[in-house]
Amino acid sequence: MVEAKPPLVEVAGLKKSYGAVQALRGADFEVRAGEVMALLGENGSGKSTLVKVLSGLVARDEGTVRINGAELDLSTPAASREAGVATVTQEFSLVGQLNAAENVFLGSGLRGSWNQARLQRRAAPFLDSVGLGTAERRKPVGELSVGERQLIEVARVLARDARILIFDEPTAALSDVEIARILDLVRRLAADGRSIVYVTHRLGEVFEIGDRATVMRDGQSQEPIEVADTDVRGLITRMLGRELTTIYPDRAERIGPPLLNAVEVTAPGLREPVDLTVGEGEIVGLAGQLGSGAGSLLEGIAGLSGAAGGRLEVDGRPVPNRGLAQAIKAGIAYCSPDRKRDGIFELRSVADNLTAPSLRRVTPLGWFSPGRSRRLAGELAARFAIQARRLDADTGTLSGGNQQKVAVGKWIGIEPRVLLVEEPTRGVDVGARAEIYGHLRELADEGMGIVFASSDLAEVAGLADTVVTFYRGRVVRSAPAVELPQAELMADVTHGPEVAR
Amino acid sequence: MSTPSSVAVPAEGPSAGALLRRLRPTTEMTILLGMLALLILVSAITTEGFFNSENARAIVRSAALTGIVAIGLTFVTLSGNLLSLSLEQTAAICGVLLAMMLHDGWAAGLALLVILGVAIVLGVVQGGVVALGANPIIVTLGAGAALAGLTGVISGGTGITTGPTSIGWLGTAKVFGFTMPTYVFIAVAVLAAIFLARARAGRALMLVGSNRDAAAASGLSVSRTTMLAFVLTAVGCALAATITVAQFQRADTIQFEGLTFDALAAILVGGAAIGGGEGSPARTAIGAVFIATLGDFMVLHNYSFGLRMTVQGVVVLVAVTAFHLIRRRRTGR
Repeated sequence: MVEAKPPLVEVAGLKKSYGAVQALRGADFEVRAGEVMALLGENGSGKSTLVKVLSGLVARDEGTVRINGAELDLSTPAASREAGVATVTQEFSLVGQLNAAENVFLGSGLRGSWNQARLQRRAAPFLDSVGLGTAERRKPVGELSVGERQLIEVARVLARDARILIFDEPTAALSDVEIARILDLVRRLAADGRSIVYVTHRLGEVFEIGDRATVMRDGQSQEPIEVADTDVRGLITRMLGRELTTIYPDRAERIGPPLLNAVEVTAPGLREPVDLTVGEGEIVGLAGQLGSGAGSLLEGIAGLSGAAGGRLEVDGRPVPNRGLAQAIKAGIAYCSPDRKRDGIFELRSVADNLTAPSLRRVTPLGWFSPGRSRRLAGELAARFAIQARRLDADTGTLSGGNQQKVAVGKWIGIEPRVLLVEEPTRGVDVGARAEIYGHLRELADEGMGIVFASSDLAEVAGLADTVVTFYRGRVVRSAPAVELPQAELMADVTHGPEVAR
Repeated sequence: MSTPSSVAVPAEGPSAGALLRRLRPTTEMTILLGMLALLILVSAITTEGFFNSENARAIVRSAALTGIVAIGLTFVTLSGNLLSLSLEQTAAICGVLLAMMLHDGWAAGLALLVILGVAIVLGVVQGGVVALGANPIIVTLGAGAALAGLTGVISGGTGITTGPTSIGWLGTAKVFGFTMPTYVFIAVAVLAAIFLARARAGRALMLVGSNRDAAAASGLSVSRTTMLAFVLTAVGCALAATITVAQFQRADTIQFEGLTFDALAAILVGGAAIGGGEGSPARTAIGAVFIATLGDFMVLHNYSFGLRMTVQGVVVLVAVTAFHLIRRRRTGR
């Protein structure tokens, strides 16, 4: 039956580069009318760039996009909307003060005089079809749940008569009940004859609603596969597809006595308290998707979030008070996942950045010592292979990789015992990645304990000595990296504890 | 992985290139000095009685008071706390209190200490509220109104004269033809520059202004820095009040009208980023001289008050726009 239908959307030979990074290197993609096509792949595999091309947010470098057989430009969001494509994202674009009906027609150019009754009447079919209760329709959407807001997003897209709907991880922030509603809605939309592109990290959902799946890897697409012909492990194999390369340094030969002992750590984003022990010279990798709690644990240990709790010992000495300043004093350095926001000072020099956490060290008796500052900045730059001539450059002018080296390297100035790094290589190209892995391993070999959280599973498997997997705010398991096959690692973080054991 | 060229050698000291770069004035400073030179040139050609040493001294004298307050305000702006709108009220209450104490025969040294204490308290309170997360513009607007009222109550609404005092020299003494306030202005600019470049607190202030979140994540105290910035601003106002009382031997509630806007204009013409982290006391000082020169030019041409305000406002707008465009080009955004 599927063979009879020609593809509604046909993408061929799509290429797109961001500066030196080639996000798409020849991707093909197709969706038929009335089909749910799952779009899968690791972070950085190119699937979000593909989605952005389809929704007109980025212009492609090469390749063609045909919808209904006609080749289209799609270089602006308006052109994409015109072609009947609509994206339902996680980032909500609703106005919190307005109610559901008002939001549905927001920006749709509804003409003529309108009042609440007419608006509600006009919005009703769309809100009916997404299953939003009548009581919820008159409330400001700011008072509704995340899931209900997601439904209104969909209704809004339906009001524009979109035929091709892209769902970009719609369930990432939802509870189980809400997820069921969304999945049910997607199924009904496809049954109506709409085409659905469904992007998710949760592989289980693919089998609940997907007809076919396209797996992306390294900016290239693979032939679509019938979901009925495969299973979770089959998809995982296709997503990974390759052995670990040599970008990862050797693992620790010997792990020393416990250095950090964290007991019953709580933090926003963790559903239950977590214990963690890190030995001297050990690198612990926390694996999990966005919102899985892996990053939350680091924030909790660093004392970052107000609601963080639990007991910490560094070198057997308890860390009092549990604030960021206390943690730093106790020798715990925390490097955030968002370097632009709070990892670097873009408009200050590299030297100023590298010495920022060690301001006391370079200002003996309260006065700045240029000599000490140069020496410390020079040492740290050398350790992280940052060119000395860059020390006076504004940090914002460096490449992403060098910025990340500054963001991590500055912490070595406080001579920490434990280094916590969230997403150590986000937005960093593969060469600088390998350098950062090497530097982290060197630090561990000198006796530091390192814990990093990452949604890049290859990174966790390649760099860590011990892996702890997270799923929806809970630890799934903790195991030595060499004893955890990558397929099980991925099953843990995409699917939780229910499969793969 | 790293190639030999990317491995850094710990630098013994700044390279020759880095030294040169540090000596070379920034783009903003070059533009600022160019603007000032152009203004002086145009004024000299078109204005009778402009280009002589007496008028130059008059310009510097009027720049001094604005400049001292503006340099104080620079700390608030650099620390990423936008600006303070309570400058003239802070100066006024300090002036009135000082005049009353001197009038009542207090020792000048003690009176000055009290004024310093008042300024510190005003700075800590306003900075403290801002550090809690309040908008600095709203906080200082409110504080300004409250202070203006309080000053009226304290002074009984009338001017207070001190008669000759032992601090009179601060306002009137001349050295090499320039009056004391000019030297105070220069000293304040130099000390402020040294503080920002060399003191731990000054460096922390620049970091907080550059990226508040990153500063907090690095373990720096944002709230302490914010309070310090507001204290330094209030101390600048107290210093301006002291000089004024010393010079005129009197104080009243509206003595400093227009000071807030003039100081703000000096900072903006000096090219400080209102969002923080970018700017310098030296540039603010030159901004103050620019505003004073412009004012002098307009007074010599008998511009009306309204016209003077219009021109000054337009100049500030042009300067802000120009510096914004330069910064955007440099950061490539």
